[in-house]
Amino acid sequence: MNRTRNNPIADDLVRPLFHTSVWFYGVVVVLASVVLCGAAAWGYQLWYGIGVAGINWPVFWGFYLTNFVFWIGISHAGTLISAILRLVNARWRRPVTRCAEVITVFALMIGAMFPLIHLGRPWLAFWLAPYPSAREIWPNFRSPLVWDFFAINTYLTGSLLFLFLPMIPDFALIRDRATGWRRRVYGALALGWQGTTKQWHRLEAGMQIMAIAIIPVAVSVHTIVSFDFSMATVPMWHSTIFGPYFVAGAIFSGIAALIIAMAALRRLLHLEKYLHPVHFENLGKLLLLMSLLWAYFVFAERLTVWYGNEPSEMAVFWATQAGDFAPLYWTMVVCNFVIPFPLLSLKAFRTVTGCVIASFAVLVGMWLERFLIIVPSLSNKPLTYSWGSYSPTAVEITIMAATFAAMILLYMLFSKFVPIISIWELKVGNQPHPPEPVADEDELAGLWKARP
Amino acid sequence: MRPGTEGVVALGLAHVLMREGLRPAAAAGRAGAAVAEWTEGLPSFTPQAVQAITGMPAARLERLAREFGTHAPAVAIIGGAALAHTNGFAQALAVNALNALAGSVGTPGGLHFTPAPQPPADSVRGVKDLLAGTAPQLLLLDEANPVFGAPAAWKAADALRQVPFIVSFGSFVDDTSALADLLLPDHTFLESWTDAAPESGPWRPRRAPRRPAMRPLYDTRPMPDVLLDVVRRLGRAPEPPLPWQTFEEMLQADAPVPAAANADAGAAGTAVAWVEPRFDGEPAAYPFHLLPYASQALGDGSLAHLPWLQELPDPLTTAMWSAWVEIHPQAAARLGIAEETSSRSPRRTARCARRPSSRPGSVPMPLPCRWARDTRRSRGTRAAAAPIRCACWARSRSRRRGPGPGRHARLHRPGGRPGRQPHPLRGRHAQSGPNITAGAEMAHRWGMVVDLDRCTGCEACVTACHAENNIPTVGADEAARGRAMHWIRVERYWEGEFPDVTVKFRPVLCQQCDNAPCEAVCPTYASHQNEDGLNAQVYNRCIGTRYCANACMYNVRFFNFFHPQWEKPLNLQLNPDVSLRESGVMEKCTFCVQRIKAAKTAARAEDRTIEDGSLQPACAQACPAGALVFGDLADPESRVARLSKSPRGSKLLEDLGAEPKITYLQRQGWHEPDA
Repeated sequence: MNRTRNNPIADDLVRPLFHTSVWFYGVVVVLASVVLCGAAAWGYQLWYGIGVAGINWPVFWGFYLTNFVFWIGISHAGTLISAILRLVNARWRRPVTRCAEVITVFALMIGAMFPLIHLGRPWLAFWLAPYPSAREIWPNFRSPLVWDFFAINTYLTGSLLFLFLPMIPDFALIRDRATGWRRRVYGALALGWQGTTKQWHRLEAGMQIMAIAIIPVAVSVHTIVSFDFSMATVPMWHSTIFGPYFVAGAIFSGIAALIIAMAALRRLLHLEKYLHPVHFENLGKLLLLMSLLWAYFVFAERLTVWYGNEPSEMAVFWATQAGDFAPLYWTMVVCNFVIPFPLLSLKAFRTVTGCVIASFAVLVGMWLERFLIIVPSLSNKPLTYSWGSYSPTAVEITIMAATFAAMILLYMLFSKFVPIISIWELKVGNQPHPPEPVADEDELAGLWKARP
Repeated sequence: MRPGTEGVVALGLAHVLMREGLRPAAAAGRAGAAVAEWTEGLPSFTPQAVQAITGMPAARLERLAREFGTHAPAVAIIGGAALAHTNGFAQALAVNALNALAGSVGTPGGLHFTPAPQPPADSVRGVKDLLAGTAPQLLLLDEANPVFGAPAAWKAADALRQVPFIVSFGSFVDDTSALADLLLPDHTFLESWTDAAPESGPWRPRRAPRRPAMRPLYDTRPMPDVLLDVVRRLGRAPEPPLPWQTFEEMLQADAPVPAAANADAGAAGTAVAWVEPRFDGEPAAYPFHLLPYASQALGDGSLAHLPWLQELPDPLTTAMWSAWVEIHPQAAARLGIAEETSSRSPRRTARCARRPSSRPGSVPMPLPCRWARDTRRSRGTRAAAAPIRCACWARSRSRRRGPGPGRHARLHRPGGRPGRQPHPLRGRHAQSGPNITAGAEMAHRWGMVVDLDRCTGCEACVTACHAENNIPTVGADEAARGRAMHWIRVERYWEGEFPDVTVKFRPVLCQQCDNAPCEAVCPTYASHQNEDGLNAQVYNRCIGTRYCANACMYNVRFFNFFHPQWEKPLNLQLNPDVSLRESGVMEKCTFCVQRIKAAKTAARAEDRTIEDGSLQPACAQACPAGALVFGDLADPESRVARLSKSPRGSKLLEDLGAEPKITYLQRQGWHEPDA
């Protein structure tokens, strides 16, 4: 075990697992109480009926579906980015991949809860699954909601595997450092990892397969989420652009979430050596690209609608452009383009702070985008007599706040139990970044060797 | 037009009819003779003069007169606020003479004057006597609510407090019976024998005694029996003694039916000249005319405890559970009254409905629609107890109903569609034949025709639908959030601005689409097409995604946001043939599938087909104008199949391709431009 002493990477990255400050407990208590408030709000809604939310006739979908699309979008940070970076073998990816993949898994879990919260009778949600029912009724495979059910489950399973595979060697490392119950738990999670050549080959092969497989899954998931809208003949929903538009928006918000998470980890877990400004710079460039792409999609969508001048679509168009929803709409444009574009395109601003500011703006803007896709269209359907509006209630806002708290809480707890940066990948990749000392060759060799 | 000048329009119409020789002056008979200048052809009422008096454009008057003279029977009806002016008698005479001139009195489709069996008691005078200080020692009140109905200035409550002993009959506690010393609960009209006499309409005077429809629910007693019993127990038998012991016996005994009276009866011997209405107050200080009227649903307010009627949207303002003041949008803008203005001031308790058809100088207002005293049912309405106190209050925060002027939705495609060709891409339910479902005895394809030229926006269909289908009412707050459930609704659209404004009504219910967008999106098959082509909803299978309601372009699906409550005794109004829905479930118009099932079962049992017209959903059955025609589209001889091929026909939002089974009929170019 003398290797432990001269293993600075592992020391740095494993430290959070064994040392916990008082602050951590305080924050966990605060976040957990917010989550409990959300659970109570949901319980209240289950008891009294979905009417405690602000939805009405004709705006049957509101905050819950907005949050659903938003969180599913956030989930695209991780797996997709990580998979692409792995496939192109971008060297700088190594400290980034795991914190990205974790975002995917938790955001997906949270996002997938919203359709349940949103149901009128959530206790019957299992009818979406094609189980052998005595009445021989299957779900309606023509419904985009059923497609959603399968797509999200596939994506969640794939993302869990994709997250778990590279964690196995790290679990083994912790197992070897830990004692008592930790040793047993991490030993179980390490699945008997011994670091044999055969195991390494299989791990690499599995990761390669998952990285290739998860990309079409991720693209299809948000395309299918967009189909929830574009399959209905609702003004400004029924659009062929929605698939790529949603995927681009998802990656956009996902990168923003990743940047914020990385900045928080860097500051709170003192990982400045590993999460270098160059990572933020690179992710910032990616965010800039997505911002431009997003602006392009919005422009293309709006221009075709405006040019087509179809009356019911124009009602929605003007409601967002200059009507009741205009303040939200222009806030969205500012957040998604006007703020990030200069911050990320000028090298002087593309610092950690600049990227974080831009990312916060993007998160706000992308949340508004989801809201502005759902509510104005439902408020302005073709029969003008049935126009309506929507405002959220305290229940919806509480549940939404609880999910943000839950995301942070889950992320914090995860970083307490698993190294948030992949230790072995960092070592393999000669990380941290060149200015820092190179990893100990002995240690690297040790990792590759079989270990009792 | 200016308030109180409706009669001038009638005289102007008569002037044009006589001038153009469409009708001779003598055709009006004695009714015409009662109006000054009639025989001379009403020279003072040229269209220009009428325009000067009323503000109605002369060209439109001429057009209306020509339409009036060439369409028989044409009827002019006056009532309500128009007769309540100081010149009401002259107004009534003028309109009556116009009807007589047009030959619409006593003809089928026209007017029939039927004298009431007993002259109606002058209830207002009774209250006035009471208020004049001639207070009796004992007052019996039955179905009278002067505290609520009389103007606040009459101080009816104060006068009633002077009466030593008040006995109140009736089934509900109201503002007046709250002051009574003794409450004697009466049977409701459903529990008791009643005697009614239609005021107008039938050819001959009628009496309509009616048996009770149900046993009394509570320990109540009919008012006439109480009175008879009291008389008996007082020991002072009247002379001659009453021949019956109970009200029931009295009704079953032969009562005389009054003889038919001459339609011209009562015409004054001397001709009456037109007089201007008088208004209190200085015009400069009071620039607006208040026009109280009985609301469509609640009448004079005596029905305000009925939730079905409270939740019936007013045809013109779409307001539910509330009182409102109507004001022209320009006048509202001048006064700085925004539609969304919200005021918590207690003096401002009625909402402002900006109505493009209001004359800018008039403020129509329905009679108060809530009893000041909170009864269980009227509680929670946000209405004024007294009309004069009402100023303006915002419409509820989440309602944004209907377009402004000039925002008329697509009602029909231009150019009508005579000889419409089946769409080449039409799906499995081709219009040329019935839906063929393998193995099923698919013989029916239920459809409907809605004649917009007949719809008056009365909304009888809406209440009938509530009654038939166990649709819950949601209450004032929930209705303001937009959660009222109207499987059928009457949409109101304004076209134009005052004075060139028309209103259009369009009943919208589930269109029972062949290519229904709601069905494809339901993940659990709760929404599906049944063997008759109906868009059926399986309530038990619904998990409440609400996707169907979003996908439906007609917005005719309604969601149970909370568990519906059926407080006793309202549970007795439930239709046992229709299942109740629980919280979290979507529901919609079924074309009264319970009636269809029953009719099919009966037809199969008797080995016959369902006769066209014998099967109707509740809305079509209730429609007094016959605007809704229901039937089997698979039967080419059925009335609905023939009407749906009318050149007046079109489908709602046809271009979206849902293939609805409801056809809307509308005459093209109904509103001809003036001159």
